[in-house]
Amino acid sequence: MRAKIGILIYILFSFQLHAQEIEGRIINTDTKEAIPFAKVGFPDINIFTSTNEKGEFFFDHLPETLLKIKVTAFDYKVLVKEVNLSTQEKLIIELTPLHTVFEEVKVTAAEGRIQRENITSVAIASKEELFQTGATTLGESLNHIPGVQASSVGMGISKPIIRGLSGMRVVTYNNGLRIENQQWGSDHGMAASELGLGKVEVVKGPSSLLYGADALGGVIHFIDEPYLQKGKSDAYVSTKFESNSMGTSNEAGFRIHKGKWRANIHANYINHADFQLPDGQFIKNSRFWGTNFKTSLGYRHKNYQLNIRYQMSHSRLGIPGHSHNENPEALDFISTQRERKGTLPAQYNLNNFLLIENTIFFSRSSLLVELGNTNSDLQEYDEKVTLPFTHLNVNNSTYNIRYSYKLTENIGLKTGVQGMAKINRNRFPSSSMLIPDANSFDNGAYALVDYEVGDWRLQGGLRYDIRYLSALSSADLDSSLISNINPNAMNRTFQGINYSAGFVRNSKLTSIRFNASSGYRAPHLSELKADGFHHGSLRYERGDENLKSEHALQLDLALELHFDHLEVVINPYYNRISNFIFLNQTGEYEGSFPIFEYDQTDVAHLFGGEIGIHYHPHRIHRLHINSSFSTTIAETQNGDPISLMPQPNWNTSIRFDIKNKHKISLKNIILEHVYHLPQNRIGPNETFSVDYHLLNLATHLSIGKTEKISVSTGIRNLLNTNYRGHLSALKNLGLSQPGINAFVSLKYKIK
Amino acid sequence: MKSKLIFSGLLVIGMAFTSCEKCAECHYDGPNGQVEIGEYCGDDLKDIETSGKTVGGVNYEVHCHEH
Repeated sequence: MRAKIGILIYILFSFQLHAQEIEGRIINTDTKEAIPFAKVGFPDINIFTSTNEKGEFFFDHLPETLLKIKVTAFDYKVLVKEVNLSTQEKLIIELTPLHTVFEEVKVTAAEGRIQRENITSVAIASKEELFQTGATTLGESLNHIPGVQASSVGMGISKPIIRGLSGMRVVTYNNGLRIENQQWGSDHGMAASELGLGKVEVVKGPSSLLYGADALGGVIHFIDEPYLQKGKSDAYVSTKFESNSMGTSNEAGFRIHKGKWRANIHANYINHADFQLPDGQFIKNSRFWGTNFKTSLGYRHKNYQLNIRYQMSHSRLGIPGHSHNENPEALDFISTQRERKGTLPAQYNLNNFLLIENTIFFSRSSLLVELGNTNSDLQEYDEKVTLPFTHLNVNNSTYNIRYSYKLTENIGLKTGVQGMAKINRNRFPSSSMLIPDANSFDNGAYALVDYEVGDWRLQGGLRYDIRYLSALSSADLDSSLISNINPNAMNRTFQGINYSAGFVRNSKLTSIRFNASSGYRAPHLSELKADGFHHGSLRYERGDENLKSEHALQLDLALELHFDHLEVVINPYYNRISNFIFLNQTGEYEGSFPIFEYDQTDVAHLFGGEIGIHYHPHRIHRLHINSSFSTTIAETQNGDPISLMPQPNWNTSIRFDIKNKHKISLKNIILEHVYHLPQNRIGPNETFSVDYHLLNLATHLSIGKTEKISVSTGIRNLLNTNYRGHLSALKNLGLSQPGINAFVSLKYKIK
Repeated sequence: MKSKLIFSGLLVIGMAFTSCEKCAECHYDGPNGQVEIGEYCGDDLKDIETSGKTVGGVNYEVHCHEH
C-alpha cells in the first residue's frame, strides 16, 4: 500500500520543477529596428513588462511550458502567439507596422485567444470602455456591449440581459468563480462591482460546455485588473460626483509585486440620493449606498501559480414604488424634494466571495484546480424597520478542475469536472418566505477538442451535468411565514447532456465563424414554489412544481470584414429553447399587485443579431466611429411574442483621440448616441414602449508631466430626454428614467 | 509612523462596523389621518412595530418610516 501511495505521489509531482529565464527583443518586421517601450506579457499567468530603449525585455521564474505571449506597441499590429519556454532560446519577436490603429486586440480569459479566434460569440470590453461616458453603475455600463442590455428597478438594482435572456439564464463569473446571489428575483441585482475591474467578457448564447448548467442566455465574466510588473508598486485615490443624484463614489487602491508575491487591494464607498426626473421632480426612495472591498494575492514559484481572491460588498438599496394607496398613481411615487436618509422599503445585501486558484504548468499541459465559496445574504424590509419582510441566505461552494493538454502542434484537449453545493436558507426573524429552504448539488464533466490547420480552427466538445434539488418542508412553520410559497417538501433530479461544435476561419481581410452550442437549465426554486407577493418585483407570483428543464440550442454565425480603415461585423443567431419557462401576466390582481404565473411553452424561438462597424477616416487617424445595431425577436411555437424582450437599439459613439504633451493634456472627446426603437412585440397584458434617443458626452484629460492626475467629465442624457425603458420596473408605475446627469471624476496616482 | 497609520486604519474600520441603536419617527393611520407618535429606539421601536398602538380600544398598526 505504501509503495502504491509513493508511486502516486511521484507521478503527481514528477513534473519538471524548473524555473525559466527568458530574454528577448521586439523589432520592426520591415526595418528590423528595435521597438522601445512595447508591452510584452503572458496573459495566462498574468505578468507583463515593457521593453527598454533597445527593445529588450527579460522575465525570470517562468514555467517551462507552452504559453501565449502578447506584444503590443503603438502604431504596430498586436501579436499573440504561442511560444515554447522550455527551449531557452532568446525570443526575437517581429511586429508589423500599421497605418491605422484600431483598439487594442483583446485576449479572452476562457480560451486565452484573441477575440477574433474564438469560436463562440464573445464580446470583450475594458472598464475604461464601459465607463467612458460616466455610467452610474456597472449594470448600466453593460449597455455599451452589443446584444447586452440591463433591466432595472430604480438606479441601484440592475440585471444583465444577453440576447433577450436574463435572471437565472445568465450566469455571472468573477475571476473564474461562479456567483450565486438570488439572481432569480427581478429586483435582485448583479453582485458585481466596477471596483478593481479590468475587463468584462460576455459569452452570448448557451455556454453550458465550459460554464455549467443554467447559462442559456450566456455568461458575463468579470475579470479584475492584472497584477503589476515585478518590482513595482502603485497606489491611487479617486472620487466621482454626479449631479442627478448628488451621488459620490470614493475609491482607493494599492498594488504591489515583490519577488514571488503580488497583491492588489481596492475599496470604495458609494452614496446616491434620490434620482431626478427630467421634469425636476424626484423618484421617491431611489436612493442607495454601498461599500466594496476587494483583494487578490498571487504567488508564483517555478511551475506553480497560486491566486487567492476575496471580495466583500455591502449595500442598501431603496426600492421605489411603495404606496399604501389601494389604487396608486405615478404621483404617489414622486416627490418635489430630494431625500437621502434611509427609508422603506429597502434591500440590504451582504456578499462575501472567496476563490483559491492553483495552476501547475507541465511541459505541454497545465492543471487548474479552483475552490470557491460565495455567501450572499439578502434582507428586504417592507413595512417594519426592525423586522425584515424576508431574509435569505445562499451559500455556494464550488470546485473546478481543468486539465489542458497540447496533444500535437495542431490539436489541443481540455477536460474537466465542475460542481457546486448550494445551500438556501431563510433567516429569522422575518415576516415571510419567498422560497423554501433547499439544498442543491451540481456535478458536471466535459471534454473539448481544438484543431488548428492553416487559417482554420475547429472545435467540438461534450458535457454531462446532473443536479439534485431538495426543497425542505416548511409546513411546520407559522402559516403567516409560508403564505407566499408552496410549503411541501420536494426532491427532484435534473440531467443534461450538452455539446458545442464550430469553426472559425481567419484571413487578412475576412473572418467567418459558425458555432452550434447547447445548454440546459433546471427550473429554479422560485419558479417551482412561489405562491405570493414579491414586493421588490412589484407583483404576485405563482409557481408550478411540475416544470421541466429548459434545453437550448443556438446557431451563431459571424462574418467580419477587416479593411485598413473599416471593420464590419455581422452576427445573426437563432436560439431554440424547449420547455421555455416564462412569467405570464394573468390579468388578475391581488390588491394593487398584478398576478403572474410561471408557465412553460413547448418551444420558444429567439432570433436576431448584431451588426457593427468601426470606421477610421483615412485623413483623420485619431477619429473612431463605432456603431452597432442589436435586436432580438422572441416568440412561442404559435408565433405569440414573449414578454419582457429588450427594445432593438442602435448605439453609436464618436471618439476623437488627442495627442499632446501639455501640462494639462486633453486625451479624448467622446460623443455617444443611443437610439432605442419601439417595442411593439409584447406579451399578453404587457404595454408598448415608444422609441427614444439618448445623448452622452464626455472628455478625459490628464494633469502633470507624469500624468499623476486624471480627470473625466461629461454629461449623460444631454438632451434631458423623458423616457421609460421597456425593461424598467418603474415603467409599470408610470415613472420615467432619470434625466440629465453631469459627472466629474478625479483620479490621483499617489505613487 | 507605520504603526500609527495601521492603528488609525483599524480604528476607522472598527467604527464603521460598530452598530448603533436604530431610531425612527413613528406614526399610525388614525380615522382622521396620520397621527405622529414620536421617535422610538432600540427595543421600544421593535415593540411598537410588533404590538402596534391601542387608542380608544382600537389597535392601530404603527409605521416607522416615511411615506
